[in-house]
Amino acid sequence: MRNMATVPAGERALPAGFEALEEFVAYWAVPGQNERRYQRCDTTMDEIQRFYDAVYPRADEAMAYLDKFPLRDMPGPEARLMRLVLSLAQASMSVEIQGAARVPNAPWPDTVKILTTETL
Amino acid sequence: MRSNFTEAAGLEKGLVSMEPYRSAAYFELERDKVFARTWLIMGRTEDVANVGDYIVKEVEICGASILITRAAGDKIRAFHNVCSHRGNQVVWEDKGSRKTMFRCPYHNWTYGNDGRLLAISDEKMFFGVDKSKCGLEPIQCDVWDGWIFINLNPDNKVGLHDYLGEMGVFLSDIPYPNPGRSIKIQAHLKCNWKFLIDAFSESYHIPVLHSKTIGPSFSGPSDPAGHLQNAEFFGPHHSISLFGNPDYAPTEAQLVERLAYKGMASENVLAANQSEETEALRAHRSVNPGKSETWSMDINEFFPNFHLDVAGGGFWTHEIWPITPDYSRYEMRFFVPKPESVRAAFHQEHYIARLADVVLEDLANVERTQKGVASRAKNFMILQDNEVLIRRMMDTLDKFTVSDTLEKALEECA
Ligand code: FES
Ligand SMILES: [Fe+2]
Repeated sequence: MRNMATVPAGERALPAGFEALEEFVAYWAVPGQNERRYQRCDTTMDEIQRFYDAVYPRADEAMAYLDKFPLRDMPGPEARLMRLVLSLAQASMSVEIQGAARVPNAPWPDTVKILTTETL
Repeated sequence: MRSNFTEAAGLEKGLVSMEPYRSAAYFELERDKVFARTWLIMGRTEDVANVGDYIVKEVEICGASILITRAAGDKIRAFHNVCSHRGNQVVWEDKGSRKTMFRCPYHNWTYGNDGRLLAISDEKMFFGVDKSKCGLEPIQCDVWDGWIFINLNPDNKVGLHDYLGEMGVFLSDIPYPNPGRSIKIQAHLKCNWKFLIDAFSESYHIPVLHSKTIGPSFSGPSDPAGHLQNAEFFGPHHSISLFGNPDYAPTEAQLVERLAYKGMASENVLAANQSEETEALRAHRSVNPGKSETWSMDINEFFPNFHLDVAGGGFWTHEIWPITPDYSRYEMRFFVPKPESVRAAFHQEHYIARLADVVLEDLANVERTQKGVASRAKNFMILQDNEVLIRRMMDTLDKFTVSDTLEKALEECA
């Protein structure tokens, strides 16, 4: 089943100042490296490029802002912003390295799993 | 610097048969003469860091489920994960902690983490069971340099340190950074296990198959083929060193890669750590043992299925587990620091994402190779000098499969 990030009622999706990125939250702000890799692999190059073009220019600023919060205990909006930025690292594989959404000539879906001891 | 590694390894230079990659009979020999009697990697001592920690590992080719525990007195032990009552598996999860007793979920027979049978539920209805004789079946287990190994042959007489021999001496005391924290990439592949071994045993393919991901850092203008920098041979085990492009830098357009590595003084794109954190690692006598100026990493292959790879920026392992002649489990573990900032987490996400892409390039490829070899259109591989480990692995397997005992096999490989 498709992973989606949800925003609890009454909470903002992202911290003030980052509203322009809100449309990407549901798809890209998912917890877990394996899940973020899945999102990158399960969409089109156009969507990845659109996300990359929107988030890269704000990434440095977002990380500077997030430095004020504890990495493992961020409030909801900050946690979602962090996950958007982490997804940028995934998206950059397609944009900066492969020139394609996924590794060319590899099957999708595949059996690759990224297993981490903690879920950021 | 050595050249002509194949000669140095004492190997012939002729064609190598593809038959062992597609033969069910050979697979059975590998099970009986290799996996059922050599020392097999189970993990790091940090995987069971505290008394009460445990892990469960599968050795599918031998049909074995193995429970590794750390009991009081800090002794690490291995047992068959099989209940003495009617043979169910006692532990169903693959790891856990703070457990000094295991209760079989079928009928509640209870074992200590030292393997003793402690209690039988409704014991009075049995017909006089001697509990002291009904513990978990122990498996030979020993530790070398923080790595846990087991031997499934209950009559085995070759200790772990003798089995590793000169390889163990060569690699001893490496100061591993972050040995207690790893990220695992796991996959199941429709191929013979040896295609996976081969995929991670040579550098000849890197500039070609990985032309975009790591080709630019493992080859360069001074060495477009990325030749081996060194090779060492120890009984059935061996070690090679790969070329690294000293001039690699991300292109102008690689904005996110630059951002991820910003403020990070690291050794190369396969660096999980800052340079200063790996100084002691790089200074070790057997890391870059040829002391090449253009070095990227060492591949240390422990026979039969464990790679311990060391680079300037950290280390990782590959475990390759045969399941059937044409189905295998692959696990790579990257030992990485615990990120303490969003920037560090971002770097780690980028690092692992690239490695997942690299590994997938290899993994998609092994299934294609399996198909090609299985078609029987060709019967022999034509190997070059930089593929020496593939030739040597096949030679070693041939020696093991015809030897009656592990002692004899090791003698043959000496
Ligand atoms: S099989 Fe374990 S208690 Fe019955
Ligand atoms: Fe490769």
